[in-house]
Amino acid sequence: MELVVSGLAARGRVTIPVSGTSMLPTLRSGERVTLYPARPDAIRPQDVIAFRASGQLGLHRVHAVFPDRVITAGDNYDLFDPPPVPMAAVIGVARDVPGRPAPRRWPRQPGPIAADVWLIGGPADPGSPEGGATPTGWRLHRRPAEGIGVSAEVLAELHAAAAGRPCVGVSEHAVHAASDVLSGLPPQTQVLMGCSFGSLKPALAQTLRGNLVPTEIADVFVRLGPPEVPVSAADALRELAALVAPGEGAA
Amino acid sequence: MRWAVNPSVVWSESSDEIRLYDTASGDFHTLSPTGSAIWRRIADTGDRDAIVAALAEEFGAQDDNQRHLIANDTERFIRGLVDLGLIAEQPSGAALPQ
Repeated sequence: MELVVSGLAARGRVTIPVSGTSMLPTLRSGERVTLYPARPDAIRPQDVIAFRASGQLGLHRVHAVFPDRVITAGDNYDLFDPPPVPMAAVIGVARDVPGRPAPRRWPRQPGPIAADVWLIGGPADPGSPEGGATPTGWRLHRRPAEGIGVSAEVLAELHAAAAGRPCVGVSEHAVHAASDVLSGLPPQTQVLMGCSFGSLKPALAQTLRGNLVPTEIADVFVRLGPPEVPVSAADALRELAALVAPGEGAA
Repeated sequence: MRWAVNPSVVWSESSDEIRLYDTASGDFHTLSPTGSAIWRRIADTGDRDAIVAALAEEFGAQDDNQRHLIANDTERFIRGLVDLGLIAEQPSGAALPQ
């Protein structure tokens, strides 16, 4: 990696090989991209940047830029990279890389929607408005959070609910805005809100209480606010309903 | 005959090896300790005869036969570097690129 940094400083542009699968289908392992020096104030969403990541050279797409950090994700992933990339870790920007393919859109469905919304870590008082009002026909299931995520029992319940049914994961870490993906929800869609999605190395998982919800459980991940900005359950439900069931009253 | 490192190549040294990076092709190479010794002299003087003489001394060549073997191995290694585009032959009297 330091050779790339010194080469970029010396030559003003360098070619690097792509490795791994995280940027599929845009970039394949073995392809080459050309890097140019990156001025922090010139980095924009949709740029592909090279950055230092745990002693390695990362190459991912930018989704949001803050003064001190950049939110990135591989084009093959639906969730942002954890953690954000410090601006100081950005090495260069790759030009002439095609854009990320648009996500498959979920079409509007005829008739009323019957969806199950699983709300993790909601308020203790089920009557609280923070729990969120739902459109007619939607069923709201509240489950407590535990440690870093959910208990094994709740995780099993989520797996059972999502098995064989369409499943939407709602997270502020999702690459796609809900409005870019969801026009409707197929029958029996399971919507997961308030979950911590991901996986841990076994050694780390043994030391922490609770379970993350595996990303494989959901068919698509969407966010209902700007990147990395949490949205309350009430607002999330309202936004979601407005997208997929416009005009339906909330119960 | 003189050789010069291609301007697109940068490298780093550790105790017993050199890592090369061709910024134009994107290729990385790691040289063995012997290859690293040759590379340092290419970067330093670039003169084939001086490289062979220095290597013969460094590796303790006892006679002309051993010096001949070192010269052949060095020539073969240098040709490999040329084929990879990492170095290029310099016209006689040309200055090394900065």
